Amino acid sequence: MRRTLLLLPLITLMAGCALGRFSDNEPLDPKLMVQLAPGKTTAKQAVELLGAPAQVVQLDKRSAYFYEYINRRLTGVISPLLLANNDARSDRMWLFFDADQVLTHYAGTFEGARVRWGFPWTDLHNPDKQRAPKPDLEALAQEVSQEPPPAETPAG
Amino acid sequence: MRAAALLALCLCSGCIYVQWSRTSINEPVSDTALARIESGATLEYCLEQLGAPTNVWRSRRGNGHFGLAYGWLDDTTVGLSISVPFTELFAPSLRLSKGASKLKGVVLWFDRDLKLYYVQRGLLTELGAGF
Repeated sequence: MRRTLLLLPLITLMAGCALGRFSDNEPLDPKLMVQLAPGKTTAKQAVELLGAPAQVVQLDKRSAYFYEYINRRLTGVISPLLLANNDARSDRMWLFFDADQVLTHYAGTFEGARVRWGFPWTDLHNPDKQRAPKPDLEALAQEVSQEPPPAETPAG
Repeated sequence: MRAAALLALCLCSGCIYVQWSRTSINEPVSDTALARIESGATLEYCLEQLGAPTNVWRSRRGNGHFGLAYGWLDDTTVGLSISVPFTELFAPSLRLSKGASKLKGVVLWFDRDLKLYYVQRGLLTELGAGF
């Protein structure tokens, strides 16, 4: 009996661990988003800037383009007690266009980088204390406008 | 003695395990931000307060109305799993657990003039019915 009792902590120590990292698409860049200008940017220009959207929703004559990056972290301790934590956060961007395909509104949420490893008792959701800080869009817009334009490659 | 050894063997092989898992997806909409939004608010103001939604839904009524849906999940599951591998092709298992994945959400409905007229809260899979 004593031997069995001695074996139990050993079994616990032999428990397996698992860590997983998964992501869909590339992280979204707020610096690209601030280059969008409501009333000016067309859908064509937006696609040239951001690439193909993940989803397009037709809203009567309007349309909405969706860009998304999903980031996941999986933490697990296996056998005899399975402890697992699956945390997923995303970067999201929605662009709204009018009937003439001119941008009217846009919004971005950038939380993908805030994904965490954790355990079931880890409180990852506390909206008022842990909410991702909003990127300072005005400062980013200023920074982007001050960047020198990319050098043109001479035609060969 | 034999019973204890058998129990240890089961634990070693993963035949029996107690599961405690948590799944969290996205950050919930802040109650503080939501409280600042009132009926008649513009699309611009709502996007500024809440950020980008997880979904945009077109109204099924065909009236040009649409909803901004914000979904999130923070779900804990506790359970017991027993699996007995009799043969290579036959391994009966039993799982007893409490908790189910239920995406919570808020949906903000806008009219043709891009003015907010209704806010729904609840399980995201159940919201949107009737719109």
